[in-house]
Amino acid sequence: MNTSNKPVCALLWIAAYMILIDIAINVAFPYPKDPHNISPSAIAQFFEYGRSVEGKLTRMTGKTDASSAPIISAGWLQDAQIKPTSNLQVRPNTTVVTVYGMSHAVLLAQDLATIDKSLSVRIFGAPGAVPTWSYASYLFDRKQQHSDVVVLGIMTLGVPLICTTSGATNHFESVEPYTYPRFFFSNGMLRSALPPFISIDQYRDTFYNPDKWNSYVKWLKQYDKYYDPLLFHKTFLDSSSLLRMLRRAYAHTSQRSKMAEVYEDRNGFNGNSEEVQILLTVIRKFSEDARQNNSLPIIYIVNNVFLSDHLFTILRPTLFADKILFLSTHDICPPNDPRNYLPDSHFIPSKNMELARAMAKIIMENNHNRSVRSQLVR
Amino acid sequence: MPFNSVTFITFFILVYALYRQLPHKGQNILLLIASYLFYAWWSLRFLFLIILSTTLDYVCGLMIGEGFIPKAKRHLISSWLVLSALFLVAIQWNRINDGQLSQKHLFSRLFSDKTALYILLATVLIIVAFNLLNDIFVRLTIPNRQQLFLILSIVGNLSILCAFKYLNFFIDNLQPILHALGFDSNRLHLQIVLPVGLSFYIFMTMSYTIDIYRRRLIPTKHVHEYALFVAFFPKLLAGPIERAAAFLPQIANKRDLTTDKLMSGLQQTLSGFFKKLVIADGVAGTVSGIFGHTYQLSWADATLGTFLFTIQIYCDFSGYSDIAIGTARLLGFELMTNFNFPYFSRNPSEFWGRWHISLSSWFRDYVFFPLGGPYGSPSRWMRNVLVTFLLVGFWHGAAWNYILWGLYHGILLCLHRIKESLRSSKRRPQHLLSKSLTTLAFFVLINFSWILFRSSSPSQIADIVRPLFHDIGNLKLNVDLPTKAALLGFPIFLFMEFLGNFARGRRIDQIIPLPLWTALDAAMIFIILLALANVPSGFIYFQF
Repeated sequence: MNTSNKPVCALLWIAAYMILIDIAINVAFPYPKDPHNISPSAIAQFFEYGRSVEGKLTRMTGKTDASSAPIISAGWLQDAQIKPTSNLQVRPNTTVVTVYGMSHAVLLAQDLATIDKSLSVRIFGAPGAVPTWSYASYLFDRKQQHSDVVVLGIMTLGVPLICTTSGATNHFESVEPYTYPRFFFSNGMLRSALPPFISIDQYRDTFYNPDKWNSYVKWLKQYDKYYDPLLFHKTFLDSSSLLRMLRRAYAHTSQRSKMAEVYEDRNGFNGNSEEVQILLTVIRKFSEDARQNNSLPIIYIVNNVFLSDHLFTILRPTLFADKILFLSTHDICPPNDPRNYLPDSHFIPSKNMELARAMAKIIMENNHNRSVRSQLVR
Repeated sequence: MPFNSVTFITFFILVYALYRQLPHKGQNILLLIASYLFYAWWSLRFLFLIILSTTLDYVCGLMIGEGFIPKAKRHLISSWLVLSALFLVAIQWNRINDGQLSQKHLFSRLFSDKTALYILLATVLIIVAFNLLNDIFVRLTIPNRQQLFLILSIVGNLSILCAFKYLNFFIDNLQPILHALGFDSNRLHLQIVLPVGLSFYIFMTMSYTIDIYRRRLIPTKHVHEYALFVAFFPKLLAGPIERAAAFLPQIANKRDLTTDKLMSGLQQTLSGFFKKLVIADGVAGTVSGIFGHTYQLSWADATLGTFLFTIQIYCDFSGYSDIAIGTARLLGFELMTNFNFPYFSRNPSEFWGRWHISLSSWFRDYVFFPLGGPYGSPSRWMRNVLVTFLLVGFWHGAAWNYILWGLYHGILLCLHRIKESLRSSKRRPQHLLSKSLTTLAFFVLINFSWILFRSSSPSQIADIVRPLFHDIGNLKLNVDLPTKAALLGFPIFLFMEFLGNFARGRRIDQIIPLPLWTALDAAMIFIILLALANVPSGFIYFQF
């Protein structure tokens, strides 16, 4: 071969191989078209992570519940949609405990219900719920049902996402369309902006109406810190598995840099960030509101694996100053010991039960409004 | 500006595009400016240290080799150093936009750091003293002048190195003595970070003056060429530790940018990115999980952690070297080989001829041989080996684990030498199986050495070593496995290593047909794309 042609030939060979790999991945690991198939193979899922947000929503959203992926019904705030995510019911002569938060909080609540029969546990959860979702959920729920005890679940990984407004922007790889308000400071006061839709029906209506959808995108651009047009909009790039991987890499890089403004592994949270300021205000407001409403507020602090007790550390001054009850997981499940955690980041069942017992103890010792004796199952 | 960043790739493309348009001298100037920018991206202040070390050794080199520096050149160098101290250290650029102070306070804001002003003052005083004493230096006898400037160069460079790298270590370890003498050791601590690449460029500049003193090198008259030798960006942060004798001629002479160089440069750069982004970064999480554990490790944890760190440090550092060598080749430069498939070594002597070659050969030439080398009585050469490797360990960092690691390798070398001297002179050639078993056995010993290197305290060493011997067979893993990209890339990495080892210096495109090596390249690009989403980690050797 002529030496001068060699680089050109090599480049052509490499390009041909890359096209071949791209096609082979799309053919060998197609993502199932059926939206009800929620557990495709790990490899098929892996190559789909980089699909645009709109691309993922299109795949999971049908015109009816029957033609949609089940996940799209999770996490909606609107009153009609707020219902316990488990079938636990409020029983007479029991202490009503309502837990708001992410899956860790849901699992805690489920164990709590089994260990103390004097408690009626209600649960409001959303996948990966951020603290502002939990707080908004409480604000919606308190209009419907009085609770003796209200538990707000927050986790380390949720705090940097406080300035997001939807499951569609806060976790790029696993998109969910549910929305929640964007809290912000205005003239030193905590305000909120409600998204254009907060129920699944409103979402469907918006999603299938280009004008409404465009105005929603404009709203996202204005209020959501994690909205990124390169990640959000469906384009021809979705068809190529290699370009999807590039988009995924970009998503990780850009979200990591946004997260780094709020949280760093070594130093913990940046106390001056807007997210931390909103979190501290939300916690203060939550406890004030609950006390005014004659409820006992408790903060459930989940310190994620390998992230030390940074969340507890940033909250501690506020919790002690405002005498807010809390359960922080770091004592029972040291975050630096991965044996306390399942591969999906939840606590192992025995530790979860231990946490639930600790929560039951806090409730038992502090809930003076209780009309019944505790029936703690040992 | 780390290699594994979009910023560097953009920077390199821009520099390369401009470089191809310029004549030879313009290329050198461009590379010098680009190299200083590259370093200033990390720290503007520490760029002054590079310029200081460059000036020191350029002056010492000329005074040793030529005996004088022409007046005009002396003034040029003096002005250059003072201006560098002024603009890089004394002026606090970050305070220009501070506060709402009026313009009249701008001057006091810009010169608000007293330490920085002392550094400027010290620089001016040194320059004035050198210029005043110049006539005396010139009148000295040649041997006296050469010795004086060699000592100046070595003391000057080692002082910079000690101040930034070793001072705190010595203060910590001499705390009782300092306390008895009435010093508060906490107040003596320097609250600064170690400048990236310091150990690498200090060793390069020292070898330059030593080689001139030994009459193995003629000093360059062109300060910008010497400055480029020190600061050339592909090798600035973590080597290879180049020798001036090999590098300066490449700067001085016109470089060929052939298609062949372009291809092999790209290939080596790709291989470096693959090793770093896919393998080293892909196993980093598992290694950190095990070495940063807060629980009882199982045998499987300790074994996996040790093995993966062995792979990580090799892929991290040789990956860096590959990118450095590859990008330098794209610019027409040939850097020395730094790694030659070291894990295929069968004994410590062979290992140190294949691992971090630029450092081991530096210590061989400038420490081991001056101490007496392998000659003399067994106790003498063993002493020479142990002293050399103690210093090799200490070069890596001011901590006892690195010293232990160096001594471990020194002891291995001594034992190997004793074993070799006891063996009969008539040796039968080893079979393939026997060779493989020897390689494997030595690989286990190397794995063990990395425990010493990676651990930050004796208790951590004990925590890792204990389950290796007391929990044999416990396969319970408590940590996450490496990333998917790393698991997918590992067979390709192994294939490339075996192929490279058996190719004995030939390039991959010279030993396998084009469709096959391009398929390997495509596979590597594909897996790099997979790995791009992983959390990038810094290069391990940047801390040295």
